[in-house]
Amino acid sequence: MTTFGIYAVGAALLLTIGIRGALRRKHLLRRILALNIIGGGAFLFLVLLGYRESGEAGPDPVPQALVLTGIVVAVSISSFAIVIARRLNARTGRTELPEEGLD
Amino acid sequence: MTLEMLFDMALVGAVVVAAAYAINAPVLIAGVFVYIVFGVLLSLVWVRLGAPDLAIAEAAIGAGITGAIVLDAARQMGMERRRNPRLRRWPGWLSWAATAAVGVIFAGVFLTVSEGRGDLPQRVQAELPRVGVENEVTAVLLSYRGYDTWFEVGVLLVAALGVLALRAPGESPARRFRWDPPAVADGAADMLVPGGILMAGYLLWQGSRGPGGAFQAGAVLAAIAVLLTLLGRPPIARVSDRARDALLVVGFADFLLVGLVAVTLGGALFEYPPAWAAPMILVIESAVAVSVAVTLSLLFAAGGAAGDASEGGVP
Repeated sequence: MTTFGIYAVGAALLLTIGIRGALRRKHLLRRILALNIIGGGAFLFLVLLGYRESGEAGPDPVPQALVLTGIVVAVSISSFAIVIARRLNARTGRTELPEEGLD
Repeated sequence: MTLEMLFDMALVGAVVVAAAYAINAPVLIAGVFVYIVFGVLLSLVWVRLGAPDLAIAEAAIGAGITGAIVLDAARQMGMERRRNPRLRRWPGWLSWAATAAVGVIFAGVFLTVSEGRGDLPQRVQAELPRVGVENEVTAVLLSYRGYDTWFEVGVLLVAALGVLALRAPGESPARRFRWDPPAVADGAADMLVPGGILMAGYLLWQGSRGPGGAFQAGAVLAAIAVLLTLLGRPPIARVSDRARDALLVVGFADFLLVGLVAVTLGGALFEYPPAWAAPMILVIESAVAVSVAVTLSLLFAAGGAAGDASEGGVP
């Protein structure tokens, strides 16, 4: 297996773990963490597309710049989501969204 | 199997295990700690894949700032009525089958893609002398894809406006921890703060030729602000609301302004004339670093204000 293959499988596993967590977990913070892990998997695959196993050309800077943008956007969105979750918790004591007919 | 592949497998294995534990840990706060470890491991992955700019950003923003914000939230929301409750819409075997299918599809698709296609690196290289910076990632961010980065700074601004809009009337987003920090913590901060500011300045200056840049520098400054906030002296409380708002906006506004100057000099938006490109990019990056720092520290402080405005908040 090549380096590309190893990290590609890793990216697929991160996406899968994140999607499962975001759908199965109820605690809002766990869901926000899961979204960040989905992001990590997507970023890993994107950077991997610009990775060069050999050859004189260095790694492709374009996906790297896009992922740098992604990391900053991810922290903005997560912390905005956390502010909303903490306000919900401070007002109602809830740590999860109400879901009728489930539990 | 070579030693390198062994390292790759161990690193990927650790990242995946950390991710799974972060979401599924029986105790929430343990999961949050492991999430911070996940961020640090991911920054090792970026180093391995030849992306040092990302490694710095991931360590400072992904692990550092996000870690601090989530940890602070877990302090408030760490209690679960039942341990780690989960949705049970589907029977266990069916959800596992669906998970496996999703994983196989992702892995299958990813493995059919071959690395290193396209000629983007060559095109980036060819234009580099006209851009005025040597770091290719900085060139892509500030010049080739200036629009993306400008809007990225806009996203930060929108997040800041969002948390300011959500606060209760009269509530200050500048939270103060009311406690007496031990003298050793205060003393350590007095030594760390100047060092951190120096580090941020270095990253900003260095960003034009090596790993670093506005976002990394801003994140290091924000980390200092978080440290001081935890010690009960939040820097954001030292400036008036008007000055704070100006600092939040300056990166977005300055970026656009320099882009428009490029238009008046005969280029397109963000197409800086080669002779002036280096200083223009530095002017943008300095303003963006300030806005990034103020925004990230506001996002940290706002989380606390939203959660425990009434309870006093001992860390």
